[in-house]
Amino acid sequence: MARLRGLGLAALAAVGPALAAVDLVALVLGVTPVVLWIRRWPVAARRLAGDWCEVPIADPYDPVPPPPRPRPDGMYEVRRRLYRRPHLPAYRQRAHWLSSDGATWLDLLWLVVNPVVGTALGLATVIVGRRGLRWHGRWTRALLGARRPWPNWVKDRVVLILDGAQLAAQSLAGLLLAALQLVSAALALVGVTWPLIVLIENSRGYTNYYRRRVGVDEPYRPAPPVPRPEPDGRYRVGRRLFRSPTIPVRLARLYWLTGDPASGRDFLWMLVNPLVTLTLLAAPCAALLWGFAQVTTAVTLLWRHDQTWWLAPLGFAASVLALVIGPTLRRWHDRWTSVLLAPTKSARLARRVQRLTETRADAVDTQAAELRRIERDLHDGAQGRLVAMGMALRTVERLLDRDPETARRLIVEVRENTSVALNEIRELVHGIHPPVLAERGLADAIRVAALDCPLDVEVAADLPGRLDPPVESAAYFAVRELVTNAAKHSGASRIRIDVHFDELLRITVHDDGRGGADPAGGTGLLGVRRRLGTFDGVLDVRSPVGGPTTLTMEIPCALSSRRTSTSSEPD
Amino acid sequence: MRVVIAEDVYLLRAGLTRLLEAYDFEVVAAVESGPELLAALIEHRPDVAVVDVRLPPTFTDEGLRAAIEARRTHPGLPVVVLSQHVQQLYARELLADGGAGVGYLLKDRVFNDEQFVDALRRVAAGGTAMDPDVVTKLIAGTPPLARLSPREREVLELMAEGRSNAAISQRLHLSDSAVSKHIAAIFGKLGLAASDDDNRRVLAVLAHITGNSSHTHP
Repeated sequence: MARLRGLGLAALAAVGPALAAVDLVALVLGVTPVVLWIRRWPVAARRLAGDWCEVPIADPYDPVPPPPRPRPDGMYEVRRRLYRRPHLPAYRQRAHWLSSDGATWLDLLWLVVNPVVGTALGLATVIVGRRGLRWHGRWTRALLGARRPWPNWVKDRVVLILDGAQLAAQSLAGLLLAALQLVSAALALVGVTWPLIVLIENSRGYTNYYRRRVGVDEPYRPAPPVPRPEPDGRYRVGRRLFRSPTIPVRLARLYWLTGDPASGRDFLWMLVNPLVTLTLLAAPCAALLWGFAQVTTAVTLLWRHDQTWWLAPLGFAASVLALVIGPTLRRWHDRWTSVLLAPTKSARLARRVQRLTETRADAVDTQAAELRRIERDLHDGAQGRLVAMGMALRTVERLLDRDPETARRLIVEVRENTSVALNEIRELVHGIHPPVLAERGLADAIRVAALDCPLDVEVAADLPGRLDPPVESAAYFAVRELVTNAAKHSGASRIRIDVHFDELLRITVHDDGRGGADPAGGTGLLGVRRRLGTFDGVLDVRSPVGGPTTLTMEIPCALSSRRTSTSSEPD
Repeated sequence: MRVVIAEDVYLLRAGLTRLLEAYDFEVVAAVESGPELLAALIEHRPDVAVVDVRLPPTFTDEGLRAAIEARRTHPGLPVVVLSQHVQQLYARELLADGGAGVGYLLKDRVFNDEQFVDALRRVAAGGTAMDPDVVTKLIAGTPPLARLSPREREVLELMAEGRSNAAISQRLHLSDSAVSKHIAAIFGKLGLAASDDDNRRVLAVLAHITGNSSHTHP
């Protein structure tokens, strides 16, 4: 009986390589039904190991994911993408479930290797009987048993190497762009400039893709301003004059693109990168695939004598070597890329200068607008009232003896007027710098704003001291703008404000409204962003349609030690 | 009646002194900074103190903090806080100790000297004097008050300012009994225990609208 079973196991192993090839293709293409169908073999092998070989093995697969559920807006979300109907996302989800399961890849390895070992042990059973069956069972458990970290190690590296191969293939596009740049540079010399402009601009898109992959910033200089006409309406470029702005605009772009040292570095990188990727990325991929092919062929064609036997171990060694050094080579490639594509020190300084120029202009604009508003309010309000009161008092002076009754009435009027003027000035002061902010600092000023807000606003503030007055003021008005926005547009019923200081000031405003806040849409968020920009502060907007909305601002600043908040929370 | 004045602007300090002396108050000290105020309050133990929120040396909330500090060491010390602006937050902090004898008014209220002096006397007698502005803000933040009728709301606002039954009836041109009826209705709707003592009743109302529920049953 045991001998018959051994023969059966050997026969089962023989179909492995063919299935392995199909399985690999199906996994790469994401054909989940085929992968699931092939899974029956390792599942059967585990069952047989338990039933025949007395080595029970549990199935190690990840649980089936639940079907995607619709979001509030009716769309289906899978892996950060939205779908209108559930079928495609469900399919994608299953494909990801299979390919991210280490056990799937282990099954694949087993299909490749088992024809050698499994067949040998199966045949051995015919000779040694039951003992052979137990060996077979242990072998199956070693490969198909509970999950171990090493299949993931292999999987991660295979994915990385295949990804590198993709980068290597894409580097040829860079070579093409570099060659075309050379040709169009020659064209530009004879006066046809637009191909060079278009090419360099597109090359920047190409290199930016790599910059994002290795995580470095753009190094380019800011785009040139639109040329301005001379007093006679013509445009001057060097010693030449043009009637229409078309050519001056194009020339300005050309000088901007070609005059930037980063363009030269891009060109050099695109020219040399194919060579680098060939050695660092394509080579390990080739070694891996060649090795895999050698081992598979050797196993499949075991019985053929013309097979050079040593190719199989060599192929195995090549694959393993590729897996071991693949990530290191990839790191070298990334370093090479970032050395050439990252902004140089002067490029970084140039960008910083540009940013400072922008934010300074914003700050000056905001200040000027603020001063104009204050001037208008004072002029229309308090100033006018003082004039009126002065006139009324003059009349009182005249009437005092003749008509004391009217004089008394006028004085009452003047007194009422002082109250109104005081109220107006109070509101004005509140808009310039709220008294609570001056008296108590940011945390209490935000608490007061929360108390005055019609919605349910919860404030959690934890500031160990006072901030610089300009930062305090900017942060306060930003928070008020955000809270007003939330109350006006989001339909929220609750708002939560967190104020926290840790090296920098971080304020989060969270509301349970309908979301969809977009800095590009209204001027409110844009204004806040601009105002914070003066302090190198940033505003992060997270507001998916359907809500909730979380707005986070961060302002780098120092904390002064004076502490004035005594806030004994009343409730 | 002995009074301490704390105000950093000379003209206002002199004006307040003159006004109060005209109404037979005895100004025992008129100081201009936070530390001086605390010292004067503890040394003179006045019948009432008139305190500006913003005082030297920091020009922040020195006056308010000195007043709260003095009331912590001498509970019930009558203090009227004056300011160019009124804030719910400060009102809540002043009322947080639950004691009587607190006032919080806009500086403009000094223009009406009779009402101002009346408020001072009320506070000195252990009552309260809250600015109508701050009362409006406090009431706006208390949702259950929506159940009150407009007339009851008016009565509640005046009561929260610290006024007596007689003053309310005079202000709203109602009879004493009508005011009493309204007050009973308000206390019923808010679930507060009624009391005959004017001051206690006011404190109960203020405690209710500042959310200080531990004082609802005095």
